[in-house]
Amino acid sequence: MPNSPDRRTFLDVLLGLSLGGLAAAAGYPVFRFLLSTRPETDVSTSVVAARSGEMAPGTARLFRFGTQPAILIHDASGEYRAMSAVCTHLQCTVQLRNDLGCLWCACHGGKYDLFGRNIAGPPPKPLERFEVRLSGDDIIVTRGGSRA
Amino acid sequence: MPSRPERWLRDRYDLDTIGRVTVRKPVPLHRHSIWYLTGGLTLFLFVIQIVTGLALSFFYRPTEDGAHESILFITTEADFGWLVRSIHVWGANLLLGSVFFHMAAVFFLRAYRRPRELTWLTGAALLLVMMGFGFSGSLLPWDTFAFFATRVGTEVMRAAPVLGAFALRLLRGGEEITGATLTRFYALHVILLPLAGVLLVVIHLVLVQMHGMSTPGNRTARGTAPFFPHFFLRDMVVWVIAFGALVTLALLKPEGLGEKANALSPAPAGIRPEWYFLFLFQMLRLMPGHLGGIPGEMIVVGVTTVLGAAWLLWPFIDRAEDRRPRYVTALGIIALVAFLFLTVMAHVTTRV
Amino acid sequence: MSRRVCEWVAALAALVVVAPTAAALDDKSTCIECHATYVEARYAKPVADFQHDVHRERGLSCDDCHGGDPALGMDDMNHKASMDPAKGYIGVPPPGGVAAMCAKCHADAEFMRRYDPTIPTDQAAQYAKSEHGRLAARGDRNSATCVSCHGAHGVRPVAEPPSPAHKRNVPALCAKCHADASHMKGYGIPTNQYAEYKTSVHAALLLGEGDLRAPSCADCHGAHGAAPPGVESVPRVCGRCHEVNQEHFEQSPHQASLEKFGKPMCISCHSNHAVHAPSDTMLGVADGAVCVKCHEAGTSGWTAAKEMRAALDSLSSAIVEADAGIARVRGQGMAMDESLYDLREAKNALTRARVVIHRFTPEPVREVVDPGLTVARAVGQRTERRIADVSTRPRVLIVVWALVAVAVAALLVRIRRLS
Repeated sequence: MPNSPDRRTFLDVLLGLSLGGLAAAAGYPVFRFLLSTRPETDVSTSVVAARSGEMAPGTARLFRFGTQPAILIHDASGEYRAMSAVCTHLQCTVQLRNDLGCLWCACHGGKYDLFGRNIAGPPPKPLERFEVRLSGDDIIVTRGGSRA
Repeated sequence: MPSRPERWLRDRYDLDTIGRVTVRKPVPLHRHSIWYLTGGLTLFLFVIQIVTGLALSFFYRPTEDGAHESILFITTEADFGWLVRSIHVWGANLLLGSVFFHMAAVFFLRAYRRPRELTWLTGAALLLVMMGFGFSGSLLPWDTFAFFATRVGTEVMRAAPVLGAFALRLLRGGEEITGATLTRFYALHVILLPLAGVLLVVIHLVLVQMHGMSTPGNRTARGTAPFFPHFFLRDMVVWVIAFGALVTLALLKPEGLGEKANALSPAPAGIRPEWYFLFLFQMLRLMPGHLGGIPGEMIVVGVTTVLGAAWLLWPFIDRAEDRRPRYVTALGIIALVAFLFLTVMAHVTTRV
Repeated sequence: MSRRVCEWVAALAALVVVAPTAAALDDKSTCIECHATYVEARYAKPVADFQHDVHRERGLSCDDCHGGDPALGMDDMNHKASMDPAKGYIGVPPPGGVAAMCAKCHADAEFMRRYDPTIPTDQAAQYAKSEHGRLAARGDRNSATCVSCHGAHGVRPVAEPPSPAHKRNVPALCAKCHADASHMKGYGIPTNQYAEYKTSVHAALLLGEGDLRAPSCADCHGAHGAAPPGVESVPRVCGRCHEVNQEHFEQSPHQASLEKFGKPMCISCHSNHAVHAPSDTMLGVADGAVCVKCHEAGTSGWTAAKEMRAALDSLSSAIVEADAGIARVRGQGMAMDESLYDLREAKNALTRARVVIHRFTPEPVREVVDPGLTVARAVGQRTERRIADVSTRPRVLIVVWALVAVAVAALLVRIRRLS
């Protein structure tokens, strides 16, 4: 019989399950979404490049800044300087060469001084400078001008 | 035998009256009853927008530096962020479509007749609120397209006489589109318009409940059914299908994000507003630069003002009691066809 | 009679025009007073030009180069008194004497120190050893002398753009003679250098973009001691700017070949004047490659060229694929920052590899290419996985629509039951 109690309850159960399923399908992603966390500092506009004491004076460290490599230089005088490590010639990654006393690009021998100014070889422009500040033990590099 | 919670409530509140206008509200059943579902659909989609919008607001940052980046995070890194965002964007489109559809149904069924004039007015206000939601929301991702589309969209206001330039400055927060514009569009989208929207929806629903459902002039109902559960089940069918459609659109055509807006870059080709503004956009494009000494834009503003006023005050223009006057049908069809034609024309003549 | 009147009228007219010029040049000087009144441009032009001369700014005048005494013959315009050989007057020197005239000061370090302590003073010595100098010494009027390049009376320092010897003007300056077939007749050297140079990437930089780091004729040939570099010097001369290429070349089999047979030099593959931006097409054994110009099919050099080109190609196509994958993924709203960052390494490897091929052996090239390949392939795989992830999304729809269908069906049945 079409409206027997069993059929009724079966339909109710079906209805409840399907609606419940849809509600869960809607609720679960929203729930997970709200629980998403994001890293404290945003990688593309500011990044903790190092902690004080990690780098000896007269050394440099390459780190990622957004989609680009950047270099943090710990000067012999103790000053920290950060700049883009992307060579302005053909975008290879530069490195510190203490024997040459400058930043050097392995691809075509371009040279930059420790302030990023292009001093020899093909590079037409200096390296883009970034701002460095110390916050406690952290050495934070930011792109000048914008706030995260 | 009433349950304990029910007895507790009955002791304090007149549940019978409340029940009469809500749960047990009689809904007339006739050939055109199905159009009653358009209102419920619109309400359902509005609620979805509020829920997804609230979720997004947990991560969105309304500043020039943070906006694009936070949307990028939502779309690419947050768990199901792409889904929540895509539902919100597609939901907006479906909501606007539903609002237009509901309005067309109400128009052709002449549900605005006495005594329901104010219901029409609140509904018209809601349409404007929804379009405001769409306009303000589309700037928030702060990508190239959003930026330039907003610039073009607000630029039109200059043509309005007397208050035009002032209104433009008020909306933009200055002469140009800047981070200040973004912040105030956010305030509009998240505070002012939701307040106005919810308030208007409540008033609109109360008015509908007070008068009951209107029946078309030339029909008599073959009976009524209580809203709950009979009509509500029908609402649910529509809602469930709408939900399915929304999820389908969100999964198959997720919303992307363009490059961060840069005021100094040249405007990309094919800038156009959201589809629900295209009919206005096309009217502007069709207008010649000058007509009899008056700038074309001003003519369009004038024409839209007149037409808009007529539309807003329509219940006071069409005061016939029962049968739908021929001219109403004609005007309705002309308006519908014109809207569709202008929208499609704008869409195919701008290549994005 | 009328002729004399005309002459005087003409002279007066010239005076009116040139007098201000003369007035500007102070110090009573017969040279200037007389020459300024000449109608013939040939004699009046030096005065006009000298207005802008750097020597004038330093307080020098006609007699400092040409000799004579400008103070004499003032009253009666008697040029013979001032242009007196007894007073050291030498007039216009013959081609072989121009260098000596200029060298009187410019080769004197102590003298020049008074005006510019850093200015070189070896120009005359270099010039004497150059082909231009030797020909001029023999009286050849076609050869270049100091004034051919620096001008005679309107000399500006070479660093200033108006100077004909300013770096950007040098190619056109040399071309004035060296591109003129009739001028160069009999010397047995080509005249197409300027035409070829203008097509080069060096010219595009120097003349097009005004980049003074790009070479003009003088940078490779010398200025005062102008001569083409010797065969074995070519890598070193090019290497002045193209250091890394030179380093690799000197370690390559081509260096030994250059010392033994006099080829190949840089210019054998890259041309001397028509130096164009290189491309991968130049390397290998296919059409358009330069290696096959010397290496016959099947020889070890031919094989090496083929292998090096294959290495470059494998890396560049892996990069293209990875880039395309990233673009596809980005279009679907997924951040690919990390992949882009990683792919840089592959792109850098390709840039380096294109320099390392100047070792002309496949092993060093492969050493640079292989790590890049690994990275590019890893990035490609990562994007493929992301795309695969996205393509599973529509499968969820099946579940959703199943639920929708069941719910709608149950609702419709309920509705029917109620009515």
